[in-house]
Amino acid sequence: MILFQRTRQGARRNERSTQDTSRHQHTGQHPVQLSVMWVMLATLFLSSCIQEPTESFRDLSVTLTDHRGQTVTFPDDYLGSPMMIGYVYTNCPDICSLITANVNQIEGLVRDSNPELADPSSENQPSYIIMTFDPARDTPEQMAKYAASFNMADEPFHFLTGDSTAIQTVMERMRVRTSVSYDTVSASGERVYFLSHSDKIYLLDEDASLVYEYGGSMTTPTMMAEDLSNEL
Amino acid sequence: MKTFSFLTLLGSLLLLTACQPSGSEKADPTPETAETPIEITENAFVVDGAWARVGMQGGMSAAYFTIANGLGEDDVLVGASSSVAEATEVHETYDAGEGMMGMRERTSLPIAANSVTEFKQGGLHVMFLRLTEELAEGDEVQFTLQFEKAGEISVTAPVRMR
Repeated sequence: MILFQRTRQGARRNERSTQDTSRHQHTGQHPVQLSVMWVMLATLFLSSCIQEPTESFRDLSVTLTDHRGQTVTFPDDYLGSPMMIGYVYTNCPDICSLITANVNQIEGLVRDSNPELADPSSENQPSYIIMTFDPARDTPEQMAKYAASFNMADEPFHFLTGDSTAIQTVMERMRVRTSVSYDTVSASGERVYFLSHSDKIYLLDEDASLVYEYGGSMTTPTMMAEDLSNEL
Repeated sequence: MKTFSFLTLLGSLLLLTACQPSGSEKADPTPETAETPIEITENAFVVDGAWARVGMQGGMSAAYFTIANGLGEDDVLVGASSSVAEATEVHETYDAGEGMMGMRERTSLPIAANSVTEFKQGGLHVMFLRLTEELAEGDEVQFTLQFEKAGEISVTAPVRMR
C-alpha cells in the first residue's frame, strides 16, 4: 500500500534522476563502448522519465464559500503560499475524519519546524483547506461545526463548500470521485447515505500547481509536513 | 556481450530507481501512533485500547479498539449499541478499487479463537450514526459490543481527535 501513498509530479522527478545518474559514472569498461552504451542508456533514461507538464489548477477560479460564510474564489484567494487540501464529506466518520485530523496535524508539524508561522497571518502561511464533495449536506454552517469539532475553526484553516456545480467542477479537475455506497434511514426517519470516494490530500505550490498527490488517510502527517516545509 | 548485459542490467536498475515516484519507498522513521501491542491472555476475552473520534451533534463518529480472544473458541461480533447516537453499527472501510474507499456494515464479524482483531482507522470501526450529543476531546463515550458467546461487553472510550 505504501507504494501508492504519494505521487510526485513533474520537475522534481527529473532533479532526482540527475542525482542518481551521477552515482554510476565509473564502471571500468572500454571508453568508446562505454560512451555508446551511456548514450543509449541516457536516452532510455530520459525518455522513460520524460517530464509531465506540471498540473496547474490556477485557472479554476471557482466561487466557493468558506466555513466563516465568506465567499471565496479558489484557488485565486489562496495563491502566494502553498496549499494543503483534503477532500472529505462531514458525514463520513472514519476515513474523512482521519484526513481532516491529518491536515490538522500537518499544520502543527509545519508550524513547529517553521517558528515564523506561529503568527496565522504570516506572509508565508500555507492555507490548510478541507473541501467537501457532498455540498448538498455540507452547508457552510455544517462545515463550521465540523471545523469546530476538530479545533480547526480559526486561520489558517479553510473549510470550503459551494453549489453543486462549482464543487463538481473542482472535483472533476482534482480527479476526486464519489459514488453512493450505503443508503439507510435513521431512527428519526431521515435518509442517511455514505459515499465511496477518492482518498486524497493534495499539496499545491504557491501558484496552485500540483506538487504531490497523497493517499489522504494512508500517508503519515510527518511526511506531508516535510514536503510542505520544503515548499516554503 | 558481458559488458552489454552488465550495462543493460545496470541501466534497468537505474531506470527503476530513477523513475519511481520519489518518496514512495520512504519508510517513516517513527510510527505516528506507537501503540502497545495487545497480547492474548489465556482464558480471557478482552476489549482494550478503546477511543472514539470527536464528532458534532447530528454528525458521525467512530470508535476504535482491540479485541483479544484468548478463550480458545471462535466467537462472532453481532452488533453494538450506545446512547450517544441514533444508531450504532459495526462498519468497515474498504478499498473499493481505483483509489476509492468505501464503507460497509459488518453485521456478523467472526472473532477467531486465540486471535487479536484490531478496529482501527481506515478499517473496522464501531460507527455512531447521527450523534445525539457533541463528542469533544476529553469526553468519554460508553458503548456495548454484543458477541455470540462472550455476551455483552461494555466499553468506555475517551474521545480524541486522532
